[in-house]
Amino acid sequence: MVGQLFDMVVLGLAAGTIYGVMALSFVLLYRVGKLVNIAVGDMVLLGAYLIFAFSELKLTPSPVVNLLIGLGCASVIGVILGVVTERTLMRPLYGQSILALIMMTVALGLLLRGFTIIKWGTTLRVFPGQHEVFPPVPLQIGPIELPYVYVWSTIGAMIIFGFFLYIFRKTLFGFAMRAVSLSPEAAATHGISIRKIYVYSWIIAYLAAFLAGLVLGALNGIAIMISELGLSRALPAALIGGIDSPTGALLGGLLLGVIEHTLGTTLNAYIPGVSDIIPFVVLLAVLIIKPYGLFGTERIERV
Amino acid sequence: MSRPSGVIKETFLADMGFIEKPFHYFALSLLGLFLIILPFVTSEYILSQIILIAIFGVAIMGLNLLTTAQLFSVMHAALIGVGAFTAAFLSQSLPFFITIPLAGLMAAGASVLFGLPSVRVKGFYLLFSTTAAQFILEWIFNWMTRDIPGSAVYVEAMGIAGYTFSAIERYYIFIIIALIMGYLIAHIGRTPLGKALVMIGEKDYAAQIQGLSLLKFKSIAFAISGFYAGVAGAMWGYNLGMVTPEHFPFLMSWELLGIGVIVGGLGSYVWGSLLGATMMIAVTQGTTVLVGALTPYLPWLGAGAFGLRAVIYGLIIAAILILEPHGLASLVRKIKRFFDLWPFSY
Repeated sequence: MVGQLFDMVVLGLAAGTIYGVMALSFVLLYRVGKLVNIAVGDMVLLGAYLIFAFSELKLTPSPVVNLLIGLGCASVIGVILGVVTERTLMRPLYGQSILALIMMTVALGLLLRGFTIIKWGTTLRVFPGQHEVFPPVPLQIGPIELPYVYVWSTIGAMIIFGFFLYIFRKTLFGFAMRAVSLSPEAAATHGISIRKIYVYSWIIAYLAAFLAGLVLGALNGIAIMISELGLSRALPAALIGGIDSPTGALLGGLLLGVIEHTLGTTLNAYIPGVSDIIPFVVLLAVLIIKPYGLFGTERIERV
Repeated sequence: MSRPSGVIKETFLADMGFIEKPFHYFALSLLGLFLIILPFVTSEYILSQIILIAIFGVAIMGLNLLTTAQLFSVMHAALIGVGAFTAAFLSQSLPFFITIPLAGLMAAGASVLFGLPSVRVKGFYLLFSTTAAQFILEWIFNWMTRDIPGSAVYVEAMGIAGYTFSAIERYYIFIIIALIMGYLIAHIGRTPLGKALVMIGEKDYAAQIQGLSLLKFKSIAFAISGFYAGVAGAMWGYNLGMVTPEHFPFLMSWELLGIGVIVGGLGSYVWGSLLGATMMIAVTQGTTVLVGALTPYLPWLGAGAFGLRAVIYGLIIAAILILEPHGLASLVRKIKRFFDLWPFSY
């Protein structure tokens, strides 16, 4: 029993890293522009399909290199999409109510999902050479059995988080980003281009979502349901950690992964399918018990 | 605020009346006449769209009241679903004039339950708790109907004492329900309750200092809007004849809030809501028409037509948001102001 629980926790932690990456994509946009990005699941979906399409070209004989090429090309598209999204959809709405901006992300989600369906249809796909890149046999590290996908996803997530946190905390660019998130007007008067910061945050959000798309696609197969999966994991993970904290996003993702794989798997034996809504129940519980999450800034209200 | 030109109110009652100008009597009676003779002159398609506008108009009225208190809810599609399923299950044994209020009460209960976090969290945090509520309720619908083939619950035809209403009679009943609900919400907006909600919307912390109990008033707001959603759901069920879990997606919640309330006109409970509902139906139907028109020219689409629908829908929403961000309500207000001041508009 204890060994089983231990396995579940390890599996949860491994899955949690990727939830953390999705949450990072979400948290960044919230932190910088107070934007609730409903399209996060659709960004993940598009990422999975783009990586699939580019690695399907089979430019090299090695499937690993193919997949990396896919990821690279998708990242380039992600950069372009980030700029286009910010320029065409978001920029005309600055200064309007935030609700209009959030509604625009709903429209963005529809556009991305619709494009994906038009281009690739609704059939289930797998990454080319997936079984060679991620062998179906689990990796044995001491007493722990871990699927290969998780090994790579954990490494990838750690790289992304390390890289992002370094930029966000230590570089001048990250400083500018934090300044904008604190007070856009004050940052603008000090010579920071808010628009540039918004563009960069969209680009990072796309890249993080695309990486999550690779992992979710490899785990569940590439299908439209990734979109809902992404949204339903990114939101609770971001909220557990406190919605405006990148570090919190990682911890929230890990916590959500562990809860999902222990509680969800256990309850699933009694009520089939209940694990689908476990993240949302967790979300409600967090909102009632500790609304600003583990690391979120608490709002102090004055009249 | 401008008062209509050339209209002099002599009593307090006249001053408080809903109908401000003599012209409004004329316009309202014209609208009433239009709604009465409509089924005899138009096609079934137009009639079904008018019924949908009535249904979503009722749902948006409640949501409009809630949004006035700055409580942003994106679980209203699921609440409509709660009403629809309640009506569907109860309609097997009870007549419609009992099931519709019961459906409303059921949805009100669900709404208050999931609205409780609103006491602790503010503003856009509420979007998250209501998103969770939407998905949890959707899951419950699926779970409830897992043993039913096609997961469709059939609704008994609307009728009274063994007599089943025809389509035209049903249309009149829906219009009457919508009128009653609109009349009620217009009054709620004028009572101390409605004013308290406006105050909570302005700054809930300040409202609390003034002695309003946030728990009480926010719960009441959720209950009322849930009731409206439930009634709309029951109407939806009776209109369609069956209820399935797929009819109440997360996207519909966003449409109700983003198009129905924001574009329609926040704070204008009756006309803004009906305008929002009209807009919502126009967008959905416009998308269907556009997809139908484009599909023959894009034969390579095949199964992707479903995706084309999403793209066009997204484009329309984006266009509305960019072109008319203050909502149709501001346009209507401008027109109204012009005629209020006419002929002395200087």
